[in-house]
Amino acid sequence: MNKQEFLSELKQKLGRLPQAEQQDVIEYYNEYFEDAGIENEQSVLAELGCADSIAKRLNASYVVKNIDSSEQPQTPRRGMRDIFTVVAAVFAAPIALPLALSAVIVAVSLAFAAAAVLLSVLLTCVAGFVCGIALIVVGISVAATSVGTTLLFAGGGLVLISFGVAAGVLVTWLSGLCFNLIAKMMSRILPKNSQDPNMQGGE
Amino acid sequence: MTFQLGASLLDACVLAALAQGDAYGYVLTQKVKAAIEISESTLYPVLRRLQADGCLATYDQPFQGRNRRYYNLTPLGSARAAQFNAEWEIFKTRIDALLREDEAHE
Repeated sequence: MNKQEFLSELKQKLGRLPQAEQQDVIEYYNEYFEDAGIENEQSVLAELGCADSIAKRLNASYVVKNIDSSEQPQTPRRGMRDIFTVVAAVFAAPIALPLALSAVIVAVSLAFAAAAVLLSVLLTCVAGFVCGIALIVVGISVAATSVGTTLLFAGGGLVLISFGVAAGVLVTWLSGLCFNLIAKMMSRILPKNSQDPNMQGGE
Repeated sequence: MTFQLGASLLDACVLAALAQGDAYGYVLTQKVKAAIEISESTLYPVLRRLQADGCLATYDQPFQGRNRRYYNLTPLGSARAAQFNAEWEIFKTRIDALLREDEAHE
């Protein structure tokens, strides 16, 4: 591995950082190499270690720092991505494996619990739609015999569909919230490791 | 190294090193490394954070046809450095008293 390979790997993996910050990181490390001198390139590389873990930790710090203040909406997809970023940093960090594993297990179980709740709300949503539509169809089918029944069934069907829509909106909002919370919790479980990388003390 | 290096101690070291004079990344890292065992990649996030907090500022100076980024203390940074110094004195005195007391009775 040489300086160029290190820098390009680093640049490649800083996906969660905005362009300007990525630039800053690369410039910092490039300058570092230059100031150390060409003759020291290999020893600097040895000291810096893995570009991959440096990138992961920078990603995680950025994600954690911006969890509240981001202008992007809290979609489930973004929340999941945040969690993955922090988990990746946990495994990249030089901390004891049991601690990393337990932190990840907590996050995963929370995610499962959240998923179970979300699934039930989602099923409510689907049920609302399906039953609502079925009711309307049935209502229409008896239109010949009794208009009153049709209206009743159709009205009921529409009510069910609106419940379905409400549940759908709820599930989207809730899942964004849940993933957001889990990512925040992860950052509290691992304060040192995601925000202060490379704490060598005590090792 | 037996003792855990807390984030604030690292901040204190960086600020103290800069209080001695402006420095660029490599030199600053070597200075701090002289006192505490850190990896060469440790400082970047610390510097960014201190900068975001308003304790540090940066300026660029051309050197041998390329750019060198220097870090310097802001007034807030100097104040924070002085604070750290004061707290460290107290901390050091107390720990010393306890550890030395231990020795005196052995």
